[in-house]
Amino acid sequence: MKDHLIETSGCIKCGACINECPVIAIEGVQRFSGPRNLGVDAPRFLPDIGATADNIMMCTTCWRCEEVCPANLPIPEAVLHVRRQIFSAPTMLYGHRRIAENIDRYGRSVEPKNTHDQESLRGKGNVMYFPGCISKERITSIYESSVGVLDKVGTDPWIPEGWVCCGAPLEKIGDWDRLRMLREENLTRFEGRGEIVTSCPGCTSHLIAHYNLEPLHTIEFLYENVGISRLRFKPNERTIRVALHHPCHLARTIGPHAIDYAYSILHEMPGVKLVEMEDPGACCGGGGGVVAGYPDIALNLATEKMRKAREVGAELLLAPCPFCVLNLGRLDFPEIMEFISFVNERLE
Amino acid sequence: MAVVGRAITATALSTGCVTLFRPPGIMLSPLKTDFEMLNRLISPFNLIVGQKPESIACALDELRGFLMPRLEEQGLPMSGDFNQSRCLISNIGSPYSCSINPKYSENGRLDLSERKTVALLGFLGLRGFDPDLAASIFKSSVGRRGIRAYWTQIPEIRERYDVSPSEVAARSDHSPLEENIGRSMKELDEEFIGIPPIFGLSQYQKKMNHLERDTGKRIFEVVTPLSLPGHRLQTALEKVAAREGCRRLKGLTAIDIGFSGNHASSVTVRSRSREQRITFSKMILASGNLVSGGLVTDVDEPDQIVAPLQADISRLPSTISASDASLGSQALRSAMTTGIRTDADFHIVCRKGEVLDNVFGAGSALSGFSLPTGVGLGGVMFTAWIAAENAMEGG
Amino acid sequence: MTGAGIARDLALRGTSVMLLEKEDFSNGATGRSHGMLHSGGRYAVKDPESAMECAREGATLKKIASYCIEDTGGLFIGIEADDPTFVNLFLRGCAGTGVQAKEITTKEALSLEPRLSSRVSSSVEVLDASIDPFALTLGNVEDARDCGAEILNYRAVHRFLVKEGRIQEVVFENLRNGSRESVRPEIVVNASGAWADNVASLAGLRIPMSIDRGTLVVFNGRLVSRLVNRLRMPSDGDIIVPSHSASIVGTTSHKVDSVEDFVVDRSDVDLLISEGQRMVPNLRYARAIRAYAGVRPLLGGGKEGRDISRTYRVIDHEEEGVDNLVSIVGGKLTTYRLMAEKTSDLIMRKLGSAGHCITASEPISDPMAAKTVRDFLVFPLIRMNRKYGDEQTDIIDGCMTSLRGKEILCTCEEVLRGEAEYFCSREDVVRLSDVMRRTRIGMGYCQAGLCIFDMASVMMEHSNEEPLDLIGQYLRERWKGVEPVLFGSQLRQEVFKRYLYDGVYQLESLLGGEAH
Repeated sequence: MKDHLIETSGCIKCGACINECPVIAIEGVQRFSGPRNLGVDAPRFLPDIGATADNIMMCTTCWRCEEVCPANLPIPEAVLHVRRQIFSAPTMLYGHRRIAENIDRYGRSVEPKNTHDQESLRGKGNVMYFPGCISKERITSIYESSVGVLDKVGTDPWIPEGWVCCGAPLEKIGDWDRLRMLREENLTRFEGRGEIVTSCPGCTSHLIAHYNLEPLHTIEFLYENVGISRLRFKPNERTIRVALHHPCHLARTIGPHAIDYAYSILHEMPGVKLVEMEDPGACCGGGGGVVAGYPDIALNLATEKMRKAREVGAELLLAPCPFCVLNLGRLDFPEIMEFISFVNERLE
Repeated sequence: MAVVGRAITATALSTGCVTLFRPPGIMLSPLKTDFEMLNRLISPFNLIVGQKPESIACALDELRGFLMPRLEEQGLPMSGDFNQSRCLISNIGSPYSCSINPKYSENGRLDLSERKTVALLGFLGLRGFDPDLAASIFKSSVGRRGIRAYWTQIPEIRERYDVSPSEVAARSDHSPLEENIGRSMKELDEEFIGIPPIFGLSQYQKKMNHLERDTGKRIFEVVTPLSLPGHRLQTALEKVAAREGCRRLKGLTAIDIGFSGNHASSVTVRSRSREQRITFSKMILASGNLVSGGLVTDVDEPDQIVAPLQADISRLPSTISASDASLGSQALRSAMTTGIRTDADFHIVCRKGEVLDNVFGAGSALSGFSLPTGVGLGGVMFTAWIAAENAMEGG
Repeated sequence: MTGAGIARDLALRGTSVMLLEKEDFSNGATGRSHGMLHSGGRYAVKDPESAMECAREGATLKKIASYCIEDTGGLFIGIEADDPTFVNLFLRGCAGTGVQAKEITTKEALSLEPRLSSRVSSSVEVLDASIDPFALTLGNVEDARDCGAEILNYRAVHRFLVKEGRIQEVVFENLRNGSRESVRPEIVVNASGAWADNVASLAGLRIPMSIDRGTLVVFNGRLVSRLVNRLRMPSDGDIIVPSHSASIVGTTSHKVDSVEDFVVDRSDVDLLISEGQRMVPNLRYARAIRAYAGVRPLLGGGKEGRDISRTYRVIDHEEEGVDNLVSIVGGKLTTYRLMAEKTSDLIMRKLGSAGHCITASEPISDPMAAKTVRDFLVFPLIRMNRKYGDEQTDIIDGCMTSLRGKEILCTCEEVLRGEAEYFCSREDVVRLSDVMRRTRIGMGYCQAGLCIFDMASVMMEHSNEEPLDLIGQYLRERWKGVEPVLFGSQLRQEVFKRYLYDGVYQLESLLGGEAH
């Protein structure tokens, strides 16, 4: 196990992380003490680390703190490590307990709403598609669109039968027993995989870090493996003003190239007028288990994001991440859509 | 053309007042020629080995001509009076920024002579600015006696408690913050009022102007520890770059360089999960100094880009020996004077002495830019300008 | 420490006491100690008398001073290269001196302390604990004051007027304003630690003692959760002590001539790191934030450094011709209460007063559970509970009621502004380092980088001194401990602080270039 105490020892108190933290900006340090306090300062007082339980679950793991840290301190990892250390079943937040119960009951982080059974998708192609809980059980359009797009470009994807939640939400709530259990379960199902494609940047990132696999997000797959030249878009007379949200886990844990790819794909689409929001990389509030743990904070961040989108006259806000769509979708305007869903709509 | 990097820049971490050029020494006798003044301004930076004064003057004019209007457009008021012996380009040329630091406390328009009464206004709940402390230090350093300190409660700040300046700035765009501040200011008798930095970049000029008109006072902004000046400049520069069509890839660490002979051809960058190779014809390394993480204090770091470059890290002695003495520590002096070595055209020089023909160095990553402190960012800007020009020249 | 303990002991017995401390409390060996509550294991083989004292007193202090003790337990570990037979000697020594010790397997040791080297060859569990010497001293001081004692800091004894074999008058200087005062005590107790000989000489007497200097290095974070000692004959770099948010590695031992020689030997720092690494390999990458040196007074007797017994001696100078002077020399922090008891017993006898010692059972401060306050983050409250004993109630009230009391002042150590306000209003708190010792402001990894200004800001409200003078004084004092660890992350930290100090307040020139 990494020595997080030593790894976060390089802090020089520049305050960059605090200035960039979206939760502090919305909630204030009296409610959320922030990345430096939780990831760097508190772990030094080891026996008293439980003292951070009152606010450590408010971090959305947007990863901005590490991005701006001049010492490159792994602050989000340190925060997750503290969550792991203080985890105890009896003191879980209500929303987090629901996640654990859903895992036990359904193998999903959310209660399945969809009984439409596409589990036994047995494509002959070399690509394994891993749907993820939200795409399959909540915003099913993402699941359908992803399969749709993969089909349209000639991949013949297969979905592992009996797949379960990748485990990313469990890392966020600190429940490593369940995380390990899910990983073991999934690895047995991933036999004969070939290329792995995922809809959710959270899944992508988790499969890389914890399963030692090399999955591609759907956007990466489209751009790198399929190629823009092979994408044929339907003609469109009406122009729609579209803004692109940069999901934290896509832009920062996978890489900014994925966002570049998304822009490139959008440029190919007729009838799309791209408008740029202020700070498109600002966290929407969907990550870190905050939607379940502190729905009010998630909503506050979403409200702020939607305001920025409205400010530039966006009619549609695209987000290449099911959790972002889930959280932002709680608000009315502008319309929110997952990126691949939009691509599918317009792809021949 | 892309800017690739991670973390925050040394510019953004600039504490204190951000000037672009500031000659060391408080008292300056009037200088005879522009070139003399130029030399005095440039000399703290060990970069002008082999540069001709005329070409420096020309380059500085170009830099000023390019940068100032664009920065002003982004909301950062700049003034550059070449004949003012204090500064060449400075954001304290604006009516607003002022530091307790006596080097900067006088500027063209803000008259802080004894005749005028000065108030420092603190906001309860705002971190980092204590007007009582500031007034006391101001008195000792500037020798002024007529400074009064006041506190006021502004609901937007006080409600939240213990806010940082950036939080206020983020919120100030959408709240009646300045009305409330204006109301407090009108209650004061003093003519000049200093407030801590609270407005974000885009609204800064507008709001300060508005406050002045509304209250009839002369307002200046006091610099505090970890306040906004450097961050504000950085944001403005990024916006200018974006407007000029520059791509910015954030969150990437350069971990290796591919060579063919003396010619660097590609750089491998890493995000958290992916590695990518970027090919280039020219590369400018501007990774910043010790504080911003561009240079490191020990050699265990495998990600340090300088290692694969085998760049020569050396110490050039600072030309200002007075500052050295006050450091009182060999280790500090060494840390603040060390940097990457380049030739007169800013090509990076390697340990074995070879000069890389298409890799340039710029900014505080180079030796000689971190000490003495307080001379401003003009030097680092200048190196960036010249390095970029040289890079473009070769074709 | 000893002085405060004696003052408390005597005050509890109804005696009228005045304590004069040259600087701030715990200035001497106490404030520069390792913060160890010894189980006695370290002395079990070589110094059985000290071992027995530590074993008994350790248990006693855990009862009466639990408010400032982190009862972590301790380990003695032998590394492969150490003498494998020593463990038997050690266990026998412990058994013979009443030091509780239990041998455990290497596997058990590594599960207790994951950062230990895998080269551990033998391990013994003991009852060591970590104690905060500042809080302990201050607790004694406050308790003594509650019983009527007059306890004054920044008072230096200047002269004894000796006549007819007695000290008639003690003249002392108030270092805060230079004024001289005097007092005519019945008995004078010399509990000045390493300065005992200096003080005794004011009465024309000498106490043979040697001065031994040791270096300690403070590292960021609790690298170990219990005290870790080297299982071998006492030597350099044997001990790592977790204390609050830090780990203290020590120590070394050099005979020095001057009692004021607090200079940190840089080669000692290197030695401590290399020895410490052998027990905890990750020490190599850990961040050293400070180093300090303490001078220990060791009773004379011809031996050198580690060979001198760490036990104490109470000296009644009646035999040497001064009837009313008593000196207490030697000893350790762990046995301070016992030293105070024995000294106080003698004094009571000399005074012809009755009164038994009750310090073995009378708690210095009532232990309390941490408070919870509505709409308030838990961490600062837990920290206050660890630092302040029963005083925390008043301090928390102050934080809640004062206008700015809830603001975080020191982010490293999670200290609120209200805590600083509480202590700055005290008459005996005059310097920023006094505030630091009482609240831990500035003891974290940034070493007061930002909070120095906030401390000055609070102090301004209670002091006539210029804030710049306060700041300069603090920086100059602290520099001695900063310079020896200017490498790695701490070097970067100090470079950043230079930009901060110079850029905003131009401290370097305002302090006449002497700040560093």
